[in-house]
Amino acid sequence: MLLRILVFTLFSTLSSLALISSLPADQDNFRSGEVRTISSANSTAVTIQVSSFKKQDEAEKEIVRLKSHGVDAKTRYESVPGKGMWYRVYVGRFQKKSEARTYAESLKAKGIITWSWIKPNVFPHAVVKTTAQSSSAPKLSSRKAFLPRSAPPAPPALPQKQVHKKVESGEKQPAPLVKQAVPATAPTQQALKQRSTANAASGQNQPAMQAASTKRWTQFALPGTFNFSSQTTLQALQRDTSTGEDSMVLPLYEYIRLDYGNTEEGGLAFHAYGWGRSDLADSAYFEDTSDGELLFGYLEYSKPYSDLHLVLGRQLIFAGVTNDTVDGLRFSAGLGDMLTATLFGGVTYAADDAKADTTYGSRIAFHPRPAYVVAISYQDTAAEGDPDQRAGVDFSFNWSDWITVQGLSSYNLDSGDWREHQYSAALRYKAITLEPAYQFFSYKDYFDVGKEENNLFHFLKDTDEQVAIAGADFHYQWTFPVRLSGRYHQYTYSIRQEKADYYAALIGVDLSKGSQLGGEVGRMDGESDDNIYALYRIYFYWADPLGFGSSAFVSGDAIFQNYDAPVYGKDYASYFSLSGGMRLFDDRLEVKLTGTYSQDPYFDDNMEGLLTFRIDY
Amino acid sequence: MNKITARTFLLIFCSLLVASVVAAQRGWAQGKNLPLAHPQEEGDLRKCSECHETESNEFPFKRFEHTPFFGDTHRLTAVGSQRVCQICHRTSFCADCHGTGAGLRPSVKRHGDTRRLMPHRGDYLTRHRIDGRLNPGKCFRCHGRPKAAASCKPCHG
Repeated sequence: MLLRILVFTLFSTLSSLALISSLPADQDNFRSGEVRTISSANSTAVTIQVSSFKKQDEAEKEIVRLKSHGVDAKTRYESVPGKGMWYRVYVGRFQKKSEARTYAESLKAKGIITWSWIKPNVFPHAVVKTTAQSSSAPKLSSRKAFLPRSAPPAPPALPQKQVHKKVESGEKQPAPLVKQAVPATAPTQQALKQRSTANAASGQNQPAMQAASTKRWTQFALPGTFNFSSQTTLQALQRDTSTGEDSMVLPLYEYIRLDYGNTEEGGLAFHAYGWGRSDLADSAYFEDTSDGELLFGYLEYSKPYSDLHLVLGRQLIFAGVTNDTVDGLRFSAGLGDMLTATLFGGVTYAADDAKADTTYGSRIAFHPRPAYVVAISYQDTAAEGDPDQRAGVDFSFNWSDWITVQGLSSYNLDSGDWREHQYSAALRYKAITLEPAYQFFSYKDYFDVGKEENNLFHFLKDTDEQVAIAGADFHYQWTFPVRLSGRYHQYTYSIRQEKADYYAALIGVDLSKGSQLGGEVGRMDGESDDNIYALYRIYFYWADPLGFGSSAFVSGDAIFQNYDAPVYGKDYASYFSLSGGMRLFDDRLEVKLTGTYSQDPYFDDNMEGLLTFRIDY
Repeated sequence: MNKITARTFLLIFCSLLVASVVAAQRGWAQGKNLPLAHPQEEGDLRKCSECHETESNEFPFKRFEHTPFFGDTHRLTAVGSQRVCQICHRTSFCADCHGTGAGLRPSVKRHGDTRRLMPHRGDYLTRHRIDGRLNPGKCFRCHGRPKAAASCKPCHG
């Protein structure tokens, strides 16, 4: 125990040091409300990039050309990862993305531009005049503090497909297709230095200084954005309650998500997500279950183009053998280009009536190239009287587009045997993908984790059963827009004298604007009647049914199931749903209404209604 | 696990922790050269190869493409790639299914989105009797955690 405390203390201290030393020097400004006000004001301001040039005079010619069409354009000298500095040409500044999209489409329709990319406004002072001119705006001296303490090296480029766009001069300019991963609003000191040097060489030192000054203002003005999302869902259904009679249940769910930070530039950020519920009918249906949870809430520090990542608070951790919600600290960092370590420690998020367990673990990945990864992972959870120690290996190898092989094996260090194996491959040839897969579970090693009272599956550890599941998925893009998929899995057991096979076939037809039609047939075919079922499904999703370019949709689902062995005297089930919804106010409000009707062995006639309002800010 | 093995793990753990912190501070942590967020919010982000060059081995874009069964098979892709998932997905997207005590089940929370192959579509209350008998390990991945098992308790105790 003492050892665990020492490790956790060391872990916390080092991680905190890393965080503190990575922070900007002036944190007071980060916490100040005015900065958030500025960033909030800018969060909806966008502009359109229409072209990019290596030479300044070509960019200026493009601006002249655009202006001859009555289009106001500006250029900005920016760093493109792996491709050096480019003069990007922007047109227009808008408060709403939808306005920018409409304007870009109108320019394309007139043949003025051939390509567009809607981005956060890179000239914020031109849009948010009140912000830039406000006397309450922070002083420049304090703004400098938000520049990185040391200039990070220029990030290498991700592989980019060379899509060429033709400019009026007839020359083909490479348009960065991975969409220039360094955000335009975040010039690094290195970029500013390069920009200044480049301009000095061309005799434009003064404009470069002004540009650098502008970038500093820009960088300070956008330390982060605030996002808020609220989803309110009212569910209406009838259920048996403790009285033994059907009664109306009207749960009202409220999901709230808060995000503060700069999603592109990194730095400090805060994220929280949780829900609460109130039964408007005041029934007893939910009396034994929780009325709300904080699913996560954490402070995060991250850097773009880096594996440096530090998270403090309640968080979901997926790292090798770990798949847990933990209240604690997680730290990830790269050790050179080939090694990445993830380390965490804290307490597991326990059930209401259970004592939380301390846990810590790590995943260390070796990746000589991103396409080849081998990792080991470890987790130790100190449940009193029933510790859980596991270790594992996971890997993924990718050979060009053709083959991917990946897998994970988890080892129970307490029982001294393998808990599970899961391996899969993807073999791709033109429009065909074949994905063979294999899984293995050893019940006594897999289910023997954590405290018995918290583990409903704990009784399975007393069997020596092992199951192996082998099979393959198949995908075929028949002809656009038709997709076909299939699945076959065979289940074999070490003790149970039975096998089972699962077959499924899917068809999907992708129509315009995200509309889709599809169907599914599946059959679980065990050797005993009570392990056989069949499922038939058809569905549709019709986007913009009114044809006005709106974000409305109508969708429907019909599912039929039959069971070889009747359950509660019924050997079939049917389920129907019909939904409609619309997004309003520049997609900030979504309203959805769904009605379902089902018959199954548990419910003779079951009708449910769902009404959802989602607000994104 | 014997004490020597445990201490060896801890030694490696602590050494790499120190080395990682030092490396991060020395600017070595360039890692996979990934942005924090996908720069393009529009288009079909499920199919990377529509925009990205996939022939080179610099980054395995094909590995992250979402097939119709991806909701069922993404574990191996995501197990060491939480950072990659977060380029396109907010953590709340993952928490709707993987969060401990997520409230509404995913097919209800995302009602109307019939394009997703939800794991509990249709009459899963009856179907889970069979799936649970044949492969309880799959149920355990999510419902093995205490709060996520709350939905099992009314019937299974």
